[in-house]
Amino acid sequence: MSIPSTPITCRDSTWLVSCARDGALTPAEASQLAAHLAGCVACQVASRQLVQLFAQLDTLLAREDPPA
Amino acid sequence: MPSRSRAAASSAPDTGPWQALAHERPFLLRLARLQLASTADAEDAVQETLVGAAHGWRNYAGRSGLRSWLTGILRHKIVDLLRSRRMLASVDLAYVAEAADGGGEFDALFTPDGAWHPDTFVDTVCGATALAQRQLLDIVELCMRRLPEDTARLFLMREYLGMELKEIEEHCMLTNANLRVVLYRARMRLRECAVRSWGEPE
Repeated sequence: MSIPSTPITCRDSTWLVSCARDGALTPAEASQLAAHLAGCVACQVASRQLVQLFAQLDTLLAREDPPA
Repeated sequence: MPSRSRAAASSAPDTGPWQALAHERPFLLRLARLQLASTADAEDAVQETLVGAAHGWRNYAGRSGLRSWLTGILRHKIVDLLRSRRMLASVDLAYVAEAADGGGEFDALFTPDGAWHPDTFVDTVCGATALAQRQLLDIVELCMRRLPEDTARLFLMREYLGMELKEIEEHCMLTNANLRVVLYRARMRLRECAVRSWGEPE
């Protein structure tokens, strides 16, 4: 049986989404974020906004490596 | 469908690389200016990029997107320039420390208990048909230009130059916690700026 993750706030969730851009979250952080997103409509929207923003940044900055 | 730059590149055997390269110059220059404080440095980096690309044109041979290839070359030029001039250490440490301590910047976005504030939360998303891709990128670029100088510099070290956090921390003498806060604040500012420009309700 899995241990319930400690609830986090919307503000905390934006912090974790930012951290995930720089590297993998710990299992506990990932679990907290997933649990929060599952029950928070506003954070689902904010998360989509950030994903879209990151995708546009990747395009603008051409971050993807060209194939060898 | 090939992009305009790819189409231009495909016509290169007839016109040489310069036409295709010149087409990308304005974009590269804008990008370099976002990272380099000096316009002269930005122009030099872009010029070296284009000359290098012209020399390597036969090896490129259209294997990847032209813009992606050029941006990769420019990235190395900028990193070399920053390192050679020790510009990586030119971050205002006082500002960064203040940024790390100043948790109040986003207070208007959240309620005291950390939930999104209903009066300030913008729920617009970027609709696929709302704006042309070029316009979307223009919005992101404009929002990046509005970031404070040191924030933008650190942000682009990470997002464009692809430097690892540890490398940025060492060169800029920042703690991991401070750097993460600066990157978080930059991303939140960009989100707030971008969503107010997308203008398409969820």
